[in-house]
Amino acid sequence: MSSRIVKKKLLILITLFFTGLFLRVYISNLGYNFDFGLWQIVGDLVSQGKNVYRETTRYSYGSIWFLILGLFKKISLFFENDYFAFRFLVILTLTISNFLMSLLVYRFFGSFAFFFIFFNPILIYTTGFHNQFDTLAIFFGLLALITIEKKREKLVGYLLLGLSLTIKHIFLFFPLWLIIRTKNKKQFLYSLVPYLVFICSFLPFVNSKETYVAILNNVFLNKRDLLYPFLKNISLTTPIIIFIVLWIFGWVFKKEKIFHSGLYYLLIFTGSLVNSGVLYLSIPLIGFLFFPLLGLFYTLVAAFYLYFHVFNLKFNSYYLF
Amino acid sequence: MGFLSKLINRLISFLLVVGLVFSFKFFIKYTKEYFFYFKNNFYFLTIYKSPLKLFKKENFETSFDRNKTIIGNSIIKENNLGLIYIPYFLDNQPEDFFEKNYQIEVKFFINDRLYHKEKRPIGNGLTENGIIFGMPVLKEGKNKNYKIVLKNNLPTNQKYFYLGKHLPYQEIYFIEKKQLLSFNFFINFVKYKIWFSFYDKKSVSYLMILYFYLWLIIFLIIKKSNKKINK
Repeated sequence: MSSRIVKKKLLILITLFFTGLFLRVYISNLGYNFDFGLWQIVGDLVSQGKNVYRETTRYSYGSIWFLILGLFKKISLFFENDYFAFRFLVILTLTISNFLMSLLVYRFFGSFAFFFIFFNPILIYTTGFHNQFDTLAIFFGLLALITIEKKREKLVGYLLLGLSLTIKHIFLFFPLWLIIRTKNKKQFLYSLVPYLVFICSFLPFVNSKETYVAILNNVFLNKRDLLYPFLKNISLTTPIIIFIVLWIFGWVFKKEKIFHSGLYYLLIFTGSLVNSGVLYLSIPLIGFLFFPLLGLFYTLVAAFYLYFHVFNLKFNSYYLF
Repeated sequence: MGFLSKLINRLISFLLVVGLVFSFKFFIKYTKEYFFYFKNNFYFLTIYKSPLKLFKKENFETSFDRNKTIIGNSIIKENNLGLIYIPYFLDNQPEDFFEKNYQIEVKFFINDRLYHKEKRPIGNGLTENGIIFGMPVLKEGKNKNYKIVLKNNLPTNQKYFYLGKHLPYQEIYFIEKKQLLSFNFFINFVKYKIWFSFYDKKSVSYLMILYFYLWLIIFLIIKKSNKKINK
């Protein structure tokens, strides 16, 4: 490929990236919600050298994200308005993960997939306003699935999947799908590696009985608001339901390629969440690449819901005071 | 299988068209209301400024307990009547927080003269915008000392109650028609109106809906051209 074409492609990529970044920063003008409030608290705690799991009950993920937030908090203090610096760094990182994820699917589905994902109004909302880091975990998760598919009996893919879980446990039940399709003992044992990585990632932060209990309660036994009132609200309601649904679908997609089954997994995983909130709306987007029309319909309904219902935009009062 | 997938595709296409028609109808209604809103607020001028222009960095402490006084020089430049909105925010509260009926009282002084006083329930501070206080912008306040005194009945070990830097503070003025006859004033008026229409929450939402339609059109074009290339 001539250097002129490479330069042109690079220029297009940079333009696309900065357009996406602009849209995400722009939507952050709407303010922020509970989650970003938590990122600020966590950033403060890490930058002060405190143990996040002990100091707040609200953080229920692995350690990588809070280490990133701590770093961003420290960097932001060099700026006059550290709030904006911190938020910009968060949005920039998440936009990079959105972009990489979109490039990954571009390789398999073509330019429509890149556009569908990176410029999707739902993803712009969850990244820019909600500052949700799902795509960071999904990117590493998908990278892991591609690696596992290529090298089924090499450890590197499984370690990557463990890294994805340590960021956010979206692919928590995917190792079950790998177990369902194991052909030998080695593959079976390797399928357990992501769980081992995930659990080991907490060890550096367990320095007392108190932190052990905090991690257990805040991460593993975290109670969430349920969508359906007929379900009993105990800590394990959500994981048990997801487990049952995904176990069944694991058998349905047994013969599907690992990467493809990962995309279906994201669809089914979101569908089986009984504690759904708007922040989860961007998780299944990649799965919709198999059903673009359905993806359009989903985006239509979700985008209108987000921009009208969530922000409660009513024009009852025509005057400011 | 081919027949079934065709049937499902048709069904989804139908749902998509119905959804688009309904959403577009809603969008048209929203557009009308949006422009009506701007028309009715034409003589209200909202100016957004960085909170750092009003408060020094050291005032943005991550936590403070019962009382806090913020003292500084008024930076009010305009000779109009209006309000300053200041967002306060609190976080990481226990579950029974709302039952305690905590309140915050705010007093606004200019050169030690009390200009404004109000009490607000603190529970509002848990919402995404925090507690937004309205302070009077008075022409007498120009370049004079101001003092904002905040008092609350929270327990003294209260954490994470802070001045919100997430929103710019706003100055809102009511403009008279004759003021617009001045060229310089008119230019500034237009400048602030454009900025407002770009930044206002309702505008962001409206522009994002517009963006959705643009995204949809471009997506369909790419999908169609991809099909042609594949053929």
